[in-house]
Amino acid sequence: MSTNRAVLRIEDLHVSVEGKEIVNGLSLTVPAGEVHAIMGPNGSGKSTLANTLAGHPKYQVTAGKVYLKGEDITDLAPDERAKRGMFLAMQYPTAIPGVTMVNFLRAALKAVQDRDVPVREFRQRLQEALTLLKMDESFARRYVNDGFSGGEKKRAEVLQMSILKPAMAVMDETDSGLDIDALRTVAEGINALHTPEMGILLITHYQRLLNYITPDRVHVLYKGRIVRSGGSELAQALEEKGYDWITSEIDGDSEAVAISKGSDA
Amino acid sequence: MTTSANALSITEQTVRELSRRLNEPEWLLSRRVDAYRAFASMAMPNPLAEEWRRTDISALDLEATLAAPRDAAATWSIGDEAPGVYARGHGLPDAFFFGEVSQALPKHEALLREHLHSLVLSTEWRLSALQATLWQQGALVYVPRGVEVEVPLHYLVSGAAGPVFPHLLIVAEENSSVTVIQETESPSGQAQSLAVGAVEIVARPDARVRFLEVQRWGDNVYNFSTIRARLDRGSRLTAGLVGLGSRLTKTKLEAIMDGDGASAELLGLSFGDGHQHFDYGTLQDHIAPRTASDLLFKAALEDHSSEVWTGTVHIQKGASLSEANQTSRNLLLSDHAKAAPIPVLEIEAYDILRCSHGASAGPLDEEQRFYLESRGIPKAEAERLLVEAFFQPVLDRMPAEAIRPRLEAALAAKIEAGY
Ligand SMILES: Nc1ncnc2c1ncn2[C@@H]1O[C@H](COP(=O)(O)OP(=O)(O)O)[C@@H](O)[C@H]1O
Ligand SMILES: [Mg+2]
Repeated sequence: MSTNRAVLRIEDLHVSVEGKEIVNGLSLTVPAGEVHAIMGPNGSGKSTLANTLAGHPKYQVTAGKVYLKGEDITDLAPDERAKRGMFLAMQYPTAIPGVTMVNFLRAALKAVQDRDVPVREFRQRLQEALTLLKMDESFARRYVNDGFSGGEKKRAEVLQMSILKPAMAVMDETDSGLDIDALRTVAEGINALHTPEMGILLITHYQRLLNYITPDRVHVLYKGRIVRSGGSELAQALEEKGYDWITSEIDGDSEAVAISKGSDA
Repeated sequence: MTTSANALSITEQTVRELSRRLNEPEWLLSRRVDAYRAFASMAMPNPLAEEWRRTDISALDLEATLAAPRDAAATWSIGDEAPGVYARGHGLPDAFFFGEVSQALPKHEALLREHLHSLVLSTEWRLSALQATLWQQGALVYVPRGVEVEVPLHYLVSGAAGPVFPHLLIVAEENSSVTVIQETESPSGQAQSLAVGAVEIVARPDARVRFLEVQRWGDNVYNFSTIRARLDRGSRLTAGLVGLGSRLTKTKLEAIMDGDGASAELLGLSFGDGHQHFDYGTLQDHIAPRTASDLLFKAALEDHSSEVWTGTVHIQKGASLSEANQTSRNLLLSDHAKAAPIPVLEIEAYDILRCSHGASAGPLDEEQRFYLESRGIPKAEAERLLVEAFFQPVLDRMPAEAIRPRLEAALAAKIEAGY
């Protein structure tokens, strides 16, 4: 695959939070039209990576580069990234009481498209998105994520993605907290939105979602770096065997040292 | 501080002329003269006094502001009717009155004599004496027993270059209902100007009074006002203050619940920028049993603006089974903005239902801002949306339906100008 067909390219990324390095030397390329999955145990740095890609001010990139459609976005503000097609479906979407979904969505669409979107066109898009995700119209009148159930929050993230039509969608555990029907709806929604120009990075630690969306590549993230990559069969193997067979390989050396020290005593 | 009254451009003679020109009866003239004498004998407040420690008016040049021509104008309108000096129609009985005080004199002289400056006294401090001396183009709202006025009454005071002294008296008789909106405005300018106003609200048993003040004085105005309500048995007050204008505002908002079961809802919303300063002193005064009050004040402060809110809850000995709540929220939009929320609780009754209070001051929520920005919304617009969202709950509770679009536009324009 040629680099200019890459929607997202991450080169040797290092990220610190409050002075602590969480991501250390991560490289990854998502070509147009592909779905990549990132799996890994809790605390391995998946959300850190996702937030960093979206430009969250709390996460400092200490080394490495992020390219979106060939353009270096490493130092761009979050809104500038969004305008260039980056989208993050968050693991824990923030509630914003006082701002209605409909006002928020209009402002966002206007911003990413850099034009005044006629009311009719906006309504039509909104209606399509609601239908796609089997959501009630009253949803649009509610305050952003305010009082939403876990499942509603996740649907609302995909609803936004469907309205904003990003080039690159990073989806951080969009499957967690969904019952099986909601999971199917959301997965079908994502599949319907996936165009040949678009890249998707699915962050999950269950195989569940991958029963509906077949990833082109699966990467295992552990301790802030990708420790193994493979095809969709890797997800299957993780489902059956868990992470231990990979992580113990990585931790193997240090554990061996600890054991030998123990026997010395 | 010791500017002698004679150095000022008003004399007892000018006061007498004003009263004569307005065709006022003798009692009103002598009240003005008494107020003038009080004004002449009083000093400006000591800047070290607790009430004035955080509000600095040393730059106010009283002499200069009083020398400017008194060129303010007022209008009185009901519903969306064209403004006039008094209102009629709307199926309201003859005894109902809304209009300029001087128009009310022939018919409501006894009422005016009883209530004018009965709640806001001319002796409170030097500028309340000045207001009681020079007030003009005041408004009387008289709602007879059992009358429910559906349409809002609108009292608009427009200043120009000179000082302005509005006065609003609302008397709502037993079981009546009324909504009154007072708007103040003047152009911004170079020379300092002065506004001193008073609002007196008398709510008889079971009356319901909704009052909203939208303050949009120019950025050169030193604004002082006192809004005080006496609430009789079972009466209900909602009073909202929207503070957008002025260089400096010091406003008192007080609900005196001296009738069994009376209740008051006190709401405040202010947005400061530049070097604006707002000082709100609120009082929830529970005198009678089973009285209830709830206060919510919200301020968003940009640039070097500042706000002091001193909120006193006083639950007196006789006020058994009463309930008081107060919340002050302050959004600091710049590193230089300052907010000082000061709750004061004086509880003398031992069998109250509930008394709660909370105050906070801090910047915008970083996660909320990131969420909006991550969807492409630029930083300034994200902040604007969040400030509007911050005000939404208090705006929703204000009796502002009639002017809501205009109010929201004024607020949005002010917030926008800050970015
Ligand atoms: N905002 C933050 N502040 C402090 N520590 C954080 C923050 N975000 C993540 N971390 C730390 O970084 C590590 C990785 O967390 P995270 O990226 O959330 O992992 P995952 O999403 O894979 O569960 C954890 O040790 C976590 O405690
Ligand atoms: Mg996570």
